[in-house]
Amino acid sequence: MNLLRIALKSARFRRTSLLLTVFTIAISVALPLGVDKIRKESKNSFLNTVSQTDLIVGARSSPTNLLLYSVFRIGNATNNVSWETYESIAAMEEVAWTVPISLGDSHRGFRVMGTTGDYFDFYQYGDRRPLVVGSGERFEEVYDTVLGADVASELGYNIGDEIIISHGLVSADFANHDDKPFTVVGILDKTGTPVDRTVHVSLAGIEAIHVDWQGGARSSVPLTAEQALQLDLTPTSITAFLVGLENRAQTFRVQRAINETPDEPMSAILPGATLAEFWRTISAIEQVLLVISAFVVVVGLLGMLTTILSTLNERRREIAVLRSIGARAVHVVSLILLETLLVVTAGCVAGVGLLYGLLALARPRITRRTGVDLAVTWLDSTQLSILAAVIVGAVVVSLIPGIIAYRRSIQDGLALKV
Amino acid sequence: MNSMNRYSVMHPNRPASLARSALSTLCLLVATAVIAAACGSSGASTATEVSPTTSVGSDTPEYGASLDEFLGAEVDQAASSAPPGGFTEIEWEDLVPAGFSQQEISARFDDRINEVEPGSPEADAVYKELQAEYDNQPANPDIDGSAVQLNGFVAPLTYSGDLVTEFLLVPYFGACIHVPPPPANQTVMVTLEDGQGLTVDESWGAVWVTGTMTLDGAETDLANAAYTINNAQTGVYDQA
Repeated sequence: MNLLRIALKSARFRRTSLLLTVFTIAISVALPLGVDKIRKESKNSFLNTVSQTDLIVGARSSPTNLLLYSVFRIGNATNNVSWETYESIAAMEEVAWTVPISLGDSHRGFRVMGTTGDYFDFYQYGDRRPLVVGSGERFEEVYDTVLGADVASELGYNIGDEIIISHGLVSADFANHDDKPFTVVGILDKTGTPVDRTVHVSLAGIEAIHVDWQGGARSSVPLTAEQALQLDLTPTSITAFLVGLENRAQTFRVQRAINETPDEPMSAILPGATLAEFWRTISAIEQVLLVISAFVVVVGLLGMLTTILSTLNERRREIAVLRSIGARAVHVVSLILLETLLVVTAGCVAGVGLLYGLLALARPRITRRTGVDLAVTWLDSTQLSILAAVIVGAVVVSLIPGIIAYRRSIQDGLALKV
Repeated sequence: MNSMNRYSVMHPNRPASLARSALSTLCLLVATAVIAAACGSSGASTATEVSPTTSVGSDTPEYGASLDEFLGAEVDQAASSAPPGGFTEIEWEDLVPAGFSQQEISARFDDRINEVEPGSPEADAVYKELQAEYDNQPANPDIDGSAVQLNGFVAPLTYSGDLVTEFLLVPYFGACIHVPPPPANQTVMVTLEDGQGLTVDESWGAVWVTGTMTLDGAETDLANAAYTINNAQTGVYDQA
């Protein structure tokens, strides 16, 4: 107790350098904690984006590409799948349900996805959680749309609002389907998946806004919304479709059958297996990040060591006085140890504070940009063990100046230097 | 203040600064080691966290256990994956009902294959029929309801958090593109007990699965029945 008071009082005279050390430790602690947090949350949200879908089928491409554009709305399809092929696969006896999806348009930066009402019945995420239309209802009419939670909240839309869909993926005034506005009829509950950032319309709706686009540009005689309704709005092609099977033990057989369809080159993937595969390829990056942050911790601790070693010269007299009044080796060493412990604990607390502060600030932005929700949760066991390792490391490191301080002679400290 | 005194002030400084630089180097090593240990310990703590599959005491081999079992138990400690006892270990062939092994199926076609000209359209038709019979081989009703342990590879289906909770267990890793995929009776639908799960990395290797194997949909059509293990336990399979 007495020792603690001495340590505190002594520290007060060196507060600038110690505060700077606390700050260094804080930053070097916040980095590995942050990396660990982001790594875990992104992994969770990544792996939990789709479930209970047995196969995803699209035009022949790499499984990762198919998964990314069909589920994460990242990148684009290499080609479409013809409606006839889709119908023939949907009619296979092993297939329980299919949900077609049609991508390619956007609304103010959010992807627009054409699908059927079955999407709301069969698409599941996480541990078998279904989509819930929180307010309003599913789309019924051609020009109805159901918004993901983030689309509605970020753009401030409510049930009954009219929205305009843009041709292509970047909104610009000159390529809008502005003659055929859609009415918001439903808003989905938040899922933490890319569904939140998707504008859902019926396949007929996608077809209707494109009927008068010929040869890649709008026809000179545009059809009105009502005229478009008179046409046959059965799609000619879709981008991909989700498949549920009667018997999941047949997954590999159906996958092979689809991959070998002679009429049209297609790829069928197991979403869960592809997620795992893709995660493994990118997890090398997470290892690199962890190694880098481990080195940052080492640098932080070295910085602390440097500060303490340099203040030893300032404390030479102080320690000599203490020793001359009877302080023993254990006292001197534990004085240095206590100071280190105080500094590093304060640094850890500040680091955790810094982490949560940054999280709170950056969370909405990160969610908007990436769809990953960095929930503010209490530190988990990995993060606590990182903190413990930093404190233990600091204590070990502080033994060095402690021993140096003791080994100096009393005379050395007390003698006047000229 | 004489020169003698000054000397005594200055002198101890030099070895101290030497010692200091030596100690700094040492401390760099120590700190690196500490961080490495921390990474290791955090890894280990996640491993214990995500593998609640250990049955306590299974790490210590039973008296009379074979050397293989002993080695397996030793190695498994890190991954905590010794399968619990009380389950009959079965092989993938056991899932094929009597009379439906590849040899038995092709034996049934032997006469007809011998009759037709090799490479002729008739021969193709016979081989197609043979393949169809092989593809549609039924499940083995004898297995229904038995407590089994089966080893195999994982095709993940459902995740809860970062753990695989539902998967297809298959006899070989990855879908081989050169041969037809395994028939339905070589695929087991596994749903893990609540709170259990495999990490993505664990799901990449061979695993053991224990539980009661049932035949889903067996009452309607044995050819379409799926082997299912619900409330299963699982862990990393060690070949030692």
